[in-house]
Amino acid sequence: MSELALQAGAAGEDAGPSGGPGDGPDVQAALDGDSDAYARLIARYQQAIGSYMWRFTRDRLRWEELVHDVFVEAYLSLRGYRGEAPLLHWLRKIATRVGYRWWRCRTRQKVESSLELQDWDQVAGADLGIEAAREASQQVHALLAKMSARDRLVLTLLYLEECSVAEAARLCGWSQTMVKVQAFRARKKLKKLLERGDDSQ
Amino acid sequence: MTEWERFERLATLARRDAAPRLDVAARVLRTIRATEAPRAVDLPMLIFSGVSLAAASIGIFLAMQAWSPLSDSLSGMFQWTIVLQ
Repeated sequence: MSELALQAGAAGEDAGPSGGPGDGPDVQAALDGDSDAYARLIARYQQAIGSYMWRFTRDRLRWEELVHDVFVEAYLSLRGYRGEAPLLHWLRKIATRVGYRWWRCRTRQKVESSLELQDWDQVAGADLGIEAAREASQQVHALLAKMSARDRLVLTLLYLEECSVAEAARLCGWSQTMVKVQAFRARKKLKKLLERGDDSQ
Repeated sequence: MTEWERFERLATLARRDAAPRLDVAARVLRTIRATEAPRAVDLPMLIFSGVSLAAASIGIFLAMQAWSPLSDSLSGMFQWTIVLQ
């Protein structure tokens, strides 16, 4: 493992934002029971994972809990990390699983309820400040919350995270064909949902 | 503009929304320590279970030994019943 972990560290340095320097020794030290090493890994990646998990919930308490779950799960399966990809990619895969699981546990909201997207043009056309982005994010989140976990996941990855089909497939653990099919269906459902929302206005 | 185009515009804007700062390191380490703590207790429990299993095996063996003559005497009694009939 140490060799692989060192490779991971090297990969991390090369990968720039995808992986941090010194991941390999820290991974190895964490496996040997050094909690400080794992704390360093958490400190290095918690913001990136936090930003990613922000797509899964807008509830701050739940969000922190999800990020916490990602790092606990990552620690418990750290021996399975082969160091073939940067650590952040591996963490994001776990984060996708954690987020998707949480979506699935949640009760699906009623599709029939109004979409509350009357001010789309104003929001989307207004200034590109932080407030506008937050409001847009809340609206997209509310809209996607009306969809099934699978549809929501594929649309979140493709439209909010700007993942390619290959990246989305890797994060979900699906085939690329599966992602394309799922995305097609999800888009269709979302269009229908938007039209219905528009009619209700 | 179609509904879909409006959604895409909104999604583009939503991508700019940054997550708040957070620090979960201490909490994660606490959880990890809590999940690992029972593992330390596991070894003595494992030894105790092993000893208990060995003792139980000896007990079962002795009980089997004691059961054989008992079952034989019972079968003898049944044989007498058949003869008496």
